[in-house]
Amino acid sequence: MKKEKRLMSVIQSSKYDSLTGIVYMLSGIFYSIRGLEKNLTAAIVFSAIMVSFVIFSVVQHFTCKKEEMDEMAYEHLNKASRIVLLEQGLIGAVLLLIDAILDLSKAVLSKELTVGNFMMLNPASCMLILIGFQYFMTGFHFRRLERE
Amino acid sequence: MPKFKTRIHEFRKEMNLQQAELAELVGVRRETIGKLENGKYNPSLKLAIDIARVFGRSVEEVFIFDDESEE
Repeated sequence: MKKEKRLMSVIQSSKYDSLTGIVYMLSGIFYSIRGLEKNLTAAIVFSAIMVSFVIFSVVQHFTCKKEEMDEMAYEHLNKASRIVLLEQGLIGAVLLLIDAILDLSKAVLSKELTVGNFMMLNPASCMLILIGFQYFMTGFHFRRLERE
Repeated sequence: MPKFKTRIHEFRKEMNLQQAELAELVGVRRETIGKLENGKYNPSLKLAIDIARVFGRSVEEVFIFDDESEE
């Protein structure tokens, strides 16, 4: 007899999305900190997290059936996505301001702030952090709207 | 803005229906019925008609817009 799949509610599904976001952001942070890939402990911890997440996702795919979203869920998801878009714009503006301040400090004080010595925001890590943020915050706002 | 009220809870009790049962009949989640009953969610016209049909009532009987609060 075929075993029936467990039903994963829309809320649980959004929690899973937030978890996905955390994993993406962790990856982005891992790839943006200089020299971290050479640290064996950090590499092992990071690999363990990634492998656990992949196993969890595969198991979940085969054992769970997602509950269908209804009109209220779609409405909340749309609202949550819109809020996340606004937050992204705000964060982008803050980052640009920080960048401008760093440039200004270089020009006015003739002194470079040493952020680049331990952080390198390459396009790959930026992309990972951005995707992670979207996943995480959309799930977070969706659950908040559902609770209200 | 007019205040939105529903008589879903009342009609549901009359018909001895659980929130989950009504949700299944109209194809939404139980949470949506809960929010509708508390007046925290405005349904689409389709959902309003579907719910009214389950109770064998008109949409106006199930969903009430309190015009007094409009003033």
